[in-house]
Amino acid sequence: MIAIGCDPAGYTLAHRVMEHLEAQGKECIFLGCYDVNHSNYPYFGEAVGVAVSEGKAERGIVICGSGIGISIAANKVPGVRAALCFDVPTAEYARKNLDANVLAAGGRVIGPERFLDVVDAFMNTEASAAKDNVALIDKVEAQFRK
Amino acid sequence: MDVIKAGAPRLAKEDVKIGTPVVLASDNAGWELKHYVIQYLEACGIEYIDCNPDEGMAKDYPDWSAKAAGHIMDGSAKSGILICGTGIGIGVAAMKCPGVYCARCDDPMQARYARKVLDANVISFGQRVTGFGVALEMVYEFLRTAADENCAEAKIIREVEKKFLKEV
Amino acid sequence: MKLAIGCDNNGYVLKETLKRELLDAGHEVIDVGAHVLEAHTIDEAPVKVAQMVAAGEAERGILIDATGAASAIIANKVRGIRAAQVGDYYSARMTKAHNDANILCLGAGVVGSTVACACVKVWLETEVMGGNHPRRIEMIHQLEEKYAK
Repeated sequence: MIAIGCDPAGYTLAHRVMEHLEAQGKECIFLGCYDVNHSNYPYFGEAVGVAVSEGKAERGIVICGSGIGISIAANKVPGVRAALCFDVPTAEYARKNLDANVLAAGGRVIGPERFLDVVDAFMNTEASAAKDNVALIDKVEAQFRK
Repeated sequence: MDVIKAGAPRLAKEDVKIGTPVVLASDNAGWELKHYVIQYLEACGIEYIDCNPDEGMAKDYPDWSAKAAGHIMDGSAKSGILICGTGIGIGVAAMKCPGVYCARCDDPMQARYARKVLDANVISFGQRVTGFGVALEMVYEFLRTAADENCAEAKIIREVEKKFLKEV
Repeated sequence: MKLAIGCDNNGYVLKETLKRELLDAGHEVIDVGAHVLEAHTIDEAPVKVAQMVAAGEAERGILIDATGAASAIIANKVRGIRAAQVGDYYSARMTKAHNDANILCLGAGVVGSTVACACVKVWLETEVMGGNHPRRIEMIHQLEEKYAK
């Protein structure tokens, strides 16, 4: 299951991503936004983050205008490692070395087909070298978690 | 969607440092983004020529490259913006024509550099690659950046062209 | 594959990094310069690499300058060359598939070495597509017939 969330600026790209993943036979759940006139990206970043950290979704994708705000919001949720990636090599790195579980993008920054390549790289790369980095991230998170 | 409300930078006519009208062309892979650019130019009051207003015509990018290049060569347009899926093919074809110096851009810095250092008269970009927010920032920089006077690189490009293209 | 590579002053460091990657991958690489941080104008490498690729002395070429734009403009004026200025993986892949780009132009001020290497690799590995695309390349040749020496 892949959880997808966005704000109005990311709405079109988010739906394109869902179409792409569903065509590959992957199950997706869209967590909003539902109102393209005014919606707040932190809620939808959080919703995807929670779905991933609770194990309801294996991975998440979050999209706002630049990808920055919604990835910061997702990263506030314990257990989430969200990476804002514009390119295949960086998406591969984020998966392989950081076990990133959420991918972020900017709907106003990146074109759709280019991002679909990034999505595929994110979905298809194993976290083969991430153990030490994840341990460090968890250690920092434990210091600041309630 | 209103591109100005969505945050595209406003450009006053007096701040435009490149010749107009701007000729626009796209294939069908660049169609939608071209229409955001048109919306932007209209909002800023900048004169443009749309080579292919009818989407049904838009299939093969070299046709539109040639048409846009024709406007630059005969002086009916002074600058150009070309859009396809990646921005590459439509620029490559246009550059086969004398007097067309097209820089493909991914971000506003490249558009600024293309104007300032290379005196590029055309930019290209890709609807499949670049979101409209960044695309309009690139258009903004392209239109409002003046070419440096006596820039060596701009002169070199024009000299080299004479070696490889026929006199027209 | 036999590849020609060249750069201006701005592209020297990235050129050396790419050259090492390509040699490690088993390609033959002809480096037309700049060889050290010497003064090198924007046209020297593009003209040499374009002429080599056009004449079949190299199968493909790679050019690096500040943004890739100057190299692409210059190389594209040479008959037989389709020089693609790219800054991302998708464009590098698609320009080979659709335009059969025979020269890749990169900007040292635009892409870091990780993305640059990934772009070069995917461009070399991608198959040229059929369908509508060869017809469009033929249209580019017709423009060359009209305007190129």
